[in-house]
Amino acid sequence: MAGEPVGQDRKMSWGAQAAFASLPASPNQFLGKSAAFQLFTGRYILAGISFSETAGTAGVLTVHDGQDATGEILGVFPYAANGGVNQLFGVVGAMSEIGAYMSISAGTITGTLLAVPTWTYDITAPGQ
Amino acid sequence: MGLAIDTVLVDVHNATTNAVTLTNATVTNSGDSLSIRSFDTGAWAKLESIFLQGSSTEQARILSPRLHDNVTGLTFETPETPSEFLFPQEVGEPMYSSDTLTVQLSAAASSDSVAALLMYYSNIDGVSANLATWAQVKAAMIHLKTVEVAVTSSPTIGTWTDTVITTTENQLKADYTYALLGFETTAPLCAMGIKGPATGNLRICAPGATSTLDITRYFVELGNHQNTPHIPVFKANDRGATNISVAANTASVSAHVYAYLAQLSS
Repeated sequence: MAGEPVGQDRKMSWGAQAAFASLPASPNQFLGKSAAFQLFTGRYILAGISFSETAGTAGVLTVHDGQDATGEILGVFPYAANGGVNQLFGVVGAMSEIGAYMSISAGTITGTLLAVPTWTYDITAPGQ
Repeated sequence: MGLAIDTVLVDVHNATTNAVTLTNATVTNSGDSLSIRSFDTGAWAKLESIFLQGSSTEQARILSPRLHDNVTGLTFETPETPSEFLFPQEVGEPMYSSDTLTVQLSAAASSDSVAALLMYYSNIDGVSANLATWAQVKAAMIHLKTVEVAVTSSPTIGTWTDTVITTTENQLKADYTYALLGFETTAPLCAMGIKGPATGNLRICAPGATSTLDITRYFVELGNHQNTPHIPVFKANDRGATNISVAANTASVSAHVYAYLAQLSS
């Protein structure tokens, strides 16, 4: 990307965001996580989540819209020991304004959070 | 609001007697941030380079969901230390406002690996760095002037050391402006750069390699290849607040850094 690329579009209209919500989501994987972590920051439309527990310990994954566990809760996902969760967030998804902060109560989880970023360059591929 | 270039320093401290593979690097010592600065709609940012310094052949990896992928992302491995051109100079990787990067480095036994990321912003709040193109500098250049600055990197690895540009000599002429074309150094550093009022007090750095080829004209070449202004221009009268910043992967590295300056007629 040499030179001066066309600037980034961040504050797209609600109509445009609705159109974005219909785009294929991108995976945002997390591997072997047993403690809270920041998966990404920025405004995204969350489309779904899929993960499994691998340490044989049941627990709860809480996804916050924020950069720590004080962020507004976007979703709470209990899981069984060696169990899994596969959840889609409806047709229009769920808006994350600040980012996705993942709090893990126990166990070890591996999976992905499916999301569509809403700020793009003209060169950004749809849904990327 | 305006242009800005910032350099983000990260390090991995390996206190063990075994080498470590890619490990999340921290900005704890540098005070920098791996979060991309926020910018408004219409602006853009790009990652233009990474300078890597380790004790042997080390790996560096940059990850974000907004990069090509979040698995191997941008991964580099080179015996060249410090590395100079892991990014081709024509290339910049688009960065996204408020995104947060993960940088991972490998490290040899009982050693540190450090890396510096060069970020270019087209327009951010609160900063308006005075940057020029080579065409602008060439048209106004009176003299080439090399300025020696004796520096010693921090005893705390991963920390920047800022040394005022007049530390070793003070020959810059009052009321003139000077453009920084590049550097040379007598000892390897991870990065060497300038920080002062003209840069919005952000660090604009070049690789800390001892080779002169392309380092003495680093900002000229980078600007030419990227087709955007990259040459820092500062007023001689600001010399007391203009610093040469360095960082290294070992403690207290002493070096003579020479700033290659163009004295400008206006």
